[in-house]
Amino acid sequence: MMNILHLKPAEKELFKKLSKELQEGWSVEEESQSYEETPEKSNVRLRLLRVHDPKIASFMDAAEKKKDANDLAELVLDTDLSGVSEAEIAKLFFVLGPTPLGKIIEALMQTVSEDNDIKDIAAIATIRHELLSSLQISSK
Amino acid sequence: MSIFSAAPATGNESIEVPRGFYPTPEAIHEVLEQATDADIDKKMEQMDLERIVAEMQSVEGREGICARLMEQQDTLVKIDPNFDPALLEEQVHMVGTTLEQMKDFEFKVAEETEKDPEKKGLLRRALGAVGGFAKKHPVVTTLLAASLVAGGVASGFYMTGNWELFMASTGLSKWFGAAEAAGEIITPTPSTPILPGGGLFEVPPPTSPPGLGTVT
Repeated sequence: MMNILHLKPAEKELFKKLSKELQEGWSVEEESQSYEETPEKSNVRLRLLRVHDPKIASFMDAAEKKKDANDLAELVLDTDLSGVSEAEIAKLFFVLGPTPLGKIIEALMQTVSEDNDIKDIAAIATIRHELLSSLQISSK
Repeated sequence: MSIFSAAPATGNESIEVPRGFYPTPEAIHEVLEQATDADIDKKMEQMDLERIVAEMQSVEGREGICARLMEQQDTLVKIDPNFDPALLEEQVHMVGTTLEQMKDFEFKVAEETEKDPEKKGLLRRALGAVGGFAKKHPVVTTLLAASLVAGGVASGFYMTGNWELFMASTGLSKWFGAAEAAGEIITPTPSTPILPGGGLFEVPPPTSPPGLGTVT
């Protein structure tokens, strides 16, 4: 079974520049869904965030005690999400929205050196694809 | 979560200040709970939080919620002296639509889990892979963690201008450009209303005219 990569046109072009060996086994599908991000939309998503994972809860407790921006940044940089459930990670991606993911995909595409790197890109692109499809819902 | 919160006063003491009203299900629940017995008699039953979440996900339900909230205008003005009834419908609609989108996204993950808890579908596998990105792709983990603090603790930093410093210290400004990282990629939720005349609360959340958003 071919692995699917949902890529925007610019990302597709970067993928085409990779060696044939690296491209092998991947089927590229153009990501045709789009979403207009605004600070208001992003703000509402943030307001609706409710997390339950104990690891995230203890991270939040520690974050609340930080009174200095540098200390808070240090805490954020030390954080890892291993062991956090997929459902909770999904919530964080929902808050983040699809816009930063495109930038990450483009940047990672330029550092690909092995198949695992493409797998990581595929993971982010899959999340973006599903996120974009959910964000198309306008109203009932 | 109370719609009132403690904010720093002069010195080290804290005072209760209104946080402003934004119609999230919890905030709506809290306002409707303050309805008097007479109000409840008039309007029939109370609404629990679950019901509010459900109602918010349909146009009809949102209209009903707006009508109920408008009957509590005095309470809303007490909570938020800047409460603008003209904006309420639009805000309720936006929250409701976002709830629908969020539930749809969460449902996809839950559906994959229900189908086969052992065998992960594409989305769950992708989300699971991200859990291990801390060392390999720290920017992804950092972004997700930054979005968490933006919701909970960062509004103070944002209002005092330290949000830019925070974004620079995490390295996110390098990735996304200073202005974009601080104002567009992740925008902290203001926990207090924006007061006219400046001071600590002057910095408003960024707004964008219609059609000027970032298209992905």
